[in-house]
Amino acid sequence: MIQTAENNTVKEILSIIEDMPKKFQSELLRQLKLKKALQLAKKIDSSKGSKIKYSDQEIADMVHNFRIGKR
Amino acid sequence: MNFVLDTHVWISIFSNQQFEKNLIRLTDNRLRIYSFSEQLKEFADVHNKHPKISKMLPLKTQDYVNALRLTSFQIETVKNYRLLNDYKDNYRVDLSNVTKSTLVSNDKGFGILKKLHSTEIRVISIVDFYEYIGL
Repeated sequence: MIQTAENNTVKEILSIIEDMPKKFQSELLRQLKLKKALQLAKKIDSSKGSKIKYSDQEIADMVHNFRIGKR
Repeated sequence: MNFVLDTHVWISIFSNQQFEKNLIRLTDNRLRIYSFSEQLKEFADVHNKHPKISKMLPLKTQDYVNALRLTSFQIETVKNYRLLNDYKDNYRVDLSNVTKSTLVSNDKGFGILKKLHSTEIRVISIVDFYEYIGL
């Protein structure tokens, strides 16, 4: 039942957006992407990685060595 | 202003626990970040296979790939540049060229671009990028 209600909500949203101008659709997409990115940013910032902190240059060198097959 | 961030720059941003702050700064300053499908694949590859980087970024690879994809405008380019040894570096240069972006990278492989006066690609370091966005 809930699933159907959610699908109907999404369908209704889509039918409204379809009739909107392209510019509006693009702006809406941009805002939705930003909202989702901010949610992910909170999750990423609160995650606890290794205690060793690497400098930006050390990370650049790690990726460079990975690219050229030298780790 | 437009930017293309090298993959290691994304890793630095994700690992310094200021990603949200960076994102807000980018949006407030109306700066555009461009990326491309090869870069998403490269990020996933580095995250999956490099033990230090996967420890540094403990979430699932897909979370970071999604964050990269959602934060940037995806553009596919045609390979024009053949200047650099690593073919993926050439993609970054192409993307910077097509989108008229400044390339942000600390990779020494891009040193040649700084010496070539014939290209119009501007390469800046990650520190300069942070200064630009006000961090």
